[in-house]
Amino acid sequence: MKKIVLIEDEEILRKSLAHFLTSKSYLVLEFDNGLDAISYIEKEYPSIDLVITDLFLPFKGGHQVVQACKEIEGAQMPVMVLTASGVEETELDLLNMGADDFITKPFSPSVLLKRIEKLMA
Amino acid sequence: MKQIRNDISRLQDLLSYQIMHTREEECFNELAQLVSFICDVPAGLITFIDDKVQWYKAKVGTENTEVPYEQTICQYALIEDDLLEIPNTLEDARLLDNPNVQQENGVRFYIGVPLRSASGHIIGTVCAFDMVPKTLTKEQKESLKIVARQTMHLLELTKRNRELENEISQILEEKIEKAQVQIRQVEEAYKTLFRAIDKSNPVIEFSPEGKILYVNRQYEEILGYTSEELIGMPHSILLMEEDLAHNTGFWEALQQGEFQSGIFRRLHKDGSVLWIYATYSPVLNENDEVIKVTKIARNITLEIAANENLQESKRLADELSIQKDRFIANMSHEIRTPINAILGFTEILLEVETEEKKLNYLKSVKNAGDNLLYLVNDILDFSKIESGHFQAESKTFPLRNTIKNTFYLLEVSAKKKDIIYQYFIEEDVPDWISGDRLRLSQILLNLLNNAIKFTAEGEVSLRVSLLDNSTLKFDIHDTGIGIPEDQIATIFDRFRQAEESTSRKYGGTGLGLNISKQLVEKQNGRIWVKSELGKGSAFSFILPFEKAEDNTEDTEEKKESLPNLTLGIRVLLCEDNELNQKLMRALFTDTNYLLDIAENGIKGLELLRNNSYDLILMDIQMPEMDGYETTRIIRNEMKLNLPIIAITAHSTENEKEKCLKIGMNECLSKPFQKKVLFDLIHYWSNQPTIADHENREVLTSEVPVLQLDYLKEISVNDDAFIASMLETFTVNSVQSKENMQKAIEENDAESIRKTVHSLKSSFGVIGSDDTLLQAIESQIILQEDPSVLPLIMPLLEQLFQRIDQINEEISFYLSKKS
Repeated sequence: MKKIVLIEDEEILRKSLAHFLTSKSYLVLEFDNGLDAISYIEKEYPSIDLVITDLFLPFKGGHQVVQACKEIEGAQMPVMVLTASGVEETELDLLNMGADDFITKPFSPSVLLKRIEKLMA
Repeated sequence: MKQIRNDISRLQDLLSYQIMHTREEECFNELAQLVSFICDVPAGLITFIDDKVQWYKAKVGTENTEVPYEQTICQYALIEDDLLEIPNTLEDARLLDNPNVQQENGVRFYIGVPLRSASGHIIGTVCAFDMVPKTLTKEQKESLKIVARQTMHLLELTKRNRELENEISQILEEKIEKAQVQIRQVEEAYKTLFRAIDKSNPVIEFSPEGKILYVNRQYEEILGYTSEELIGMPHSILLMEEDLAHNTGFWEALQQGEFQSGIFRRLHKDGSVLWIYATYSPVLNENDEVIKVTKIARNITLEIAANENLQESKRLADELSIQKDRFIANMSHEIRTPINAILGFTEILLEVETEEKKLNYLKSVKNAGDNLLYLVNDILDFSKIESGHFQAESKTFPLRNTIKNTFYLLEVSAKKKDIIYQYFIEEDVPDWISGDRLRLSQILLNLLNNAIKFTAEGEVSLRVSLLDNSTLKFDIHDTGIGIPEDQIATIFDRFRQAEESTSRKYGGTGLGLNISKQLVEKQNGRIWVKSELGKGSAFSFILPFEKAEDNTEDTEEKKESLPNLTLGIRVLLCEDNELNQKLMRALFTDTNYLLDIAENGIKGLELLRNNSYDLILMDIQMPEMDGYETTRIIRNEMKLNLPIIAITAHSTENEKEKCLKIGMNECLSKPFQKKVLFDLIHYWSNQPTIADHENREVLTSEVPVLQLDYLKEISVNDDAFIASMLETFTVNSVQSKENMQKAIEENDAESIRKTVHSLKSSFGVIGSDDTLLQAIESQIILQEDPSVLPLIMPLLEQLFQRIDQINEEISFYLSKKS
């Protein structure tokens, strides 16, 4: 079973996503803030297959999550960023940051699934 | 016989030649030689005879230098007129006792020619003799006489020369004496001058090498040294170190005797810097060698400092002036946006309000707003002209119509004051000309408005006539307060009203006339005024123009005649400012047009991709993507040709041109009248070649409140999960609402923004439209100012209602399910 770390402070979206991904046979670990997520990732990275993070989070934001993931030596899991349209970073900025992919909210769950499968292939 | 020997006048004459007992002279010697040659005898003489001796001035062939008078043979020649020749002296009775004759080897032959002076006295002889008797030829005798005459010439010349020399030397002496007197005077004057300078100016003297020789008290004072400390020191001790290098050349020039002057920096004894203006004068001796250098200085440290302050002040003032202009331009621009909203809403309210009292209040608001706008436009115009961003337009327009329309714009204000208000356009004034319609209106409005403003009774009239084939003349005459004579010259200056109290009494920026003048002059015209205090003023201006073809078929005329009734036209407004959005929304309420609003270009393109529109109203300044870029994408990438009307805040020609160039169809500048807007919309949406009607869809104005498709998909139709999510939404959204209400009280916009932002995801999940959330968030981000809250309060109220509405739906849904 592949392990996904999901970081999203908005409860409904996080729970929905977790529910959806679990139904697709993924092991989902939910975090509602960046700080806890980063300390978990730093400990458990060899077992993590994918990190999905929101951009604006309490304590530490999506930027720091992406940065932390990319700075861990030997860590290879891809990082996907959830962005809201309009006022946040552009596609280019995100990719420059080191994110492997991004998806703009609101997104279709099936599209998200396709992207996840592709990233972990 | 005439007594010759002792004749006083003869002796005086002889003396006057100053020849007796003078030294030998070559010219006389040569003449004596010539005499001996002519006579072919050994002895030739030039002699002068006084009462005692015969003295030989020049001689050849004899040892004697003089002979006592009694022993001379020449005494007998003296009485001859012509010459005396004695071929054999032994046969002459007069010489029987003469020792020179009677001695052995004495004189045997004698010939002598008397030397006759200019005054007729015989003063000497030219004579010759031999030891043998002989007779001379006639030619020899004549030659001898010539020699005698030449000798006399020589004497006369010598005498004359001497006299001249005397005269000259006498003149010279007089001159020298005079010059000496003058020199003494000059010297005296120079000394006085120097004393004066020395008393009043700092003076210092140097040796040619630069050693200090003399320092006066003034110099001591400005430098802080005593002369004892300075004398003998090199001048360089007074210089600053960095000035030493280029001082070398300076001193070399002085040593060459060149005068130098300028402004110099010097070091005070206490180390402070002082500035002097100084002249360095090398003093030369008679061989033109520099013997010393005198320097006269003036301490200008204070002047320099004052000048620097002045320069700095001027620079600051200039900078401030630029900043001020920029500030005025920016501020005027910023002010226009809210005025626009105020006027727009007022116009709407005026349309619907029925209560008389409120109607009056609203009219006052409208009036005040109009005035404010007028002022701001004045200032903006002014700063545009001042900064050189003004260009007169040259377009064909109906002149007579324009004048009439402009005139009637002010009819109401004239009527209010109960003054006669009339215009007269002469018959030969053309209907159509080419020029700047807007500027002409502006000038006329300005002048007419002024005329009405300053006229309490009587009349205001406008007369338009043709000065010549290419010049129009406008006269605006009033019977108002008039302008005092001494202020007529400055009445067109900026910020100028005839009296300061005028602006208090009549209002205005004092810029109107200056703007009018500049506008007239920018169009190569001329403006002037005649006025009499208390009787009225007559402003006149002339404008050159170009005639144009009659253009009655022009679209402008058509537009007005089109019926303003069309069904189901869809308009997309791209506009970031919420107030303007609301204003537009309100303007569109009672029309048959359908309005969608995008808060920036990106949103606009998104809406355009998903819907079909007949026309776009495009704001230029928007965040994310501005109106230019959006239009470019619509035209070049999406290849859509629907009409786009630009709505700009800057009503510059540049901007208008840019709008049209980039592919927009029309440019409307804020603030605009409702009628103008809808005429434009009507006009452009009825252009069959432009509007794209094919993909029109039916508009669904309802926004979704709750749509569970997404939740269903994401939960894979897990009803229990959906229900729990909806319950969570209710709990969370109520909490969010409370948080926001609290934040409003605390005026914490950022907290509201965060809450709104996180709500966006939730709305997305439960399928509720999040436009409202986005609007609130972008407003807060854009305004970056706590004062944004009052502005977005209506939106927040809507949001709270929306949350309640959603939660009602949710509870309805959940009750149905259970």
